[in-house]
Amino acid sequence: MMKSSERLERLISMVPWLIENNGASIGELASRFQYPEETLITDLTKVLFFVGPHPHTPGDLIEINLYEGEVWINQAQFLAKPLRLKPSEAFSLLIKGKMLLNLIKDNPDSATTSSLLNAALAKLSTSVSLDQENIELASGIPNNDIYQSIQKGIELGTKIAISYYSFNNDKNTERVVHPVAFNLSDRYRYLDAYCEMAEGYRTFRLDRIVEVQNLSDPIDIIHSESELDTNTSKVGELNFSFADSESATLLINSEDEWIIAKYPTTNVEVQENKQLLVTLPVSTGTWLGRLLLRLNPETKVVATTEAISESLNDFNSLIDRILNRYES
Amino acid sequence: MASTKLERQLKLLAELLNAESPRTAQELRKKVGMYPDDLVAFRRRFSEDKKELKNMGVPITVLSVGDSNKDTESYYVENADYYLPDLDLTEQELAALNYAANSVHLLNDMTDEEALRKLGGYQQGLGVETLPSETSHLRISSDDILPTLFEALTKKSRIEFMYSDHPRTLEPYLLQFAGEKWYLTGNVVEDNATKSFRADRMTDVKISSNFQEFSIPDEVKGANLLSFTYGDDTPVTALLRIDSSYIPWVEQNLDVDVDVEPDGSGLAKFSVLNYDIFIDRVLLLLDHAEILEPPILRQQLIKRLQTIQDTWGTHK
Repeated sequence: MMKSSERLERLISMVPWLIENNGASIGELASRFQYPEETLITDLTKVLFFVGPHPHTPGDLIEINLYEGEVWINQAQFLAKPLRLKPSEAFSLLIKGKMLLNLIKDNPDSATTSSLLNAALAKLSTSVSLDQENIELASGIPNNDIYQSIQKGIELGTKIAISYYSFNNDKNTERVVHPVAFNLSDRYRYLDAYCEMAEGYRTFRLDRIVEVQNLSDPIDIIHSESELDTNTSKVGELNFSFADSESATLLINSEDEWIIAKYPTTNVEVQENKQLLVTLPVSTGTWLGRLLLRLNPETKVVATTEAISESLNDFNSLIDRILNRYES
Repeated sequence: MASTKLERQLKLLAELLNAESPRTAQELRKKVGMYPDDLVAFRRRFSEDKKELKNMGVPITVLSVGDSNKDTESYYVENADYYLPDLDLTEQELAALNYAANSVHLLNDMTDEEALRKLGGYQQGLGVETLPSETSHLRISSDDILPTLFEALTKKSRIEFMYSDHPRTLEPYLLQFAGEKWYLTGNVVEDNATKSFRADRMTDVKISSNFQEFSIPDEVKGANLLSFTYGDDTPVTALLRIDSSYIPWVEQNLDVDVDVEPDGSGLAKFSVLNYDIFIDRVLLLLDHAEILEPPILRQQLIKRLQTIQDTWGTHK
């Protein structure tokens, strides 16, 4: 049974529409306003029928005519228009509409929807005295060839060949993947896909996909939503992940305290001169090298696990390679 | 029982919308004719009804007349504040709004059902099957204070809030979603300067009860999310050469258009006011990028690397 507040909300939204449309069927009202038919008929005939301004004479009360499943309403002037949208309601509809427009604006198949949505948003904005330009939404969707090629693969259900850059290893790998869906998480857009090389589901950060080639091979595996659940798919295998077993201890200056907020740490000790001894899990020597390049040049690596120590041996040659670019 | 309450609240609404002048509680009690005789029970029920109507968005205004005695309070609803202006939405336009509401999800699960019913009807599920696969996955974050910021923007009302432990008064000009965060840009009254604030860092937000307190300039520049464009260094234009593999990363993360050269490498220009932060960003590209201009940035990057090399060599 609906609560009386839910019935009130539906009645004061439904009555204006019923008046405007000069009657409707009970079935349509029930569907359009999510009003169970039995409750709707009760509320029309046993509640609304007795409502009106004082002194509640027949001439003041709302008149309900119900005949063969059709209903008409009269003398409900005070409910002839709906209640204004709350700020949260108008805000929600506007940003959802604008976001959808961003998504479909370049799709010729969606031209009609875009046009209708544009018109609806213009009317909605006017009703709340808003200039639409005062709300900006970045869709986060890159309008480039890589994105378009992946989108094409998803729509056609065909495989794609990608060249993917691994931030951890500073290497590109060539893979054939079955593109399934895009995902947006923590500022970045990802591709969820089945990777033939890894023989499993993987998540690829879009800005690290260097090249895409559409293949004609159809995707012959049925991908289910549960397999793409970010809790179960192996996010991180291709992206940065903090390995449990590898770590480094750095002696950093106070100006680099930001790394404590940005990365998980297992130990932080305050040293003399406000320096900090920070132990943090790391994924690869390349990742740690990148971090060292951004910290105060006097940062010291006090200890690392063996695997990281070995890969850090290349750190000097990395700096040499960068400096070589600046020799000319 | 629920029907009695529904009828009573509808009658109260009818009285408030039909009243030509503010009504006291006793006048409303008499006209509605459905409240208990007992005064305490009446006050409790009347108070509950007012609260529920207000929660629905009914703009009930309370006027105090004379002293602070409750009986001298009177209530009215300004019709212009209650009734939704005619939107003249067509059925297809309403369907397009339903399509958007069903396709894009806000992370705090704001519901649009009530809003769409006000506009003429909610159609559950419309849109989700026909959109490209990515859209149904699309979710955008929406902090709880955003409707308040939106209300201030639409009513052109000033807001007061705390930001980084400082009180601010702002005339909101632009609400912006970028980089997965919401930003509010406006005129800081204390400084008479246009500034941007991250919405999730604004606390104790209070909206002024006044409307139309300011006008919004024609062109408002929103939040700039590139930290190397903020700083006290002498402004320079940096020219960066990027290896082809890194062009997508640069375009997306440094918000710049990269010109692709015949050899496949890219060239991009940046306005830089903070040299250190810009060099940080360039070094993320390791040996796959090179600052071509200006010399001062090249020299600063070289100096930093040489210092690291010295420290590292000594340390090793």
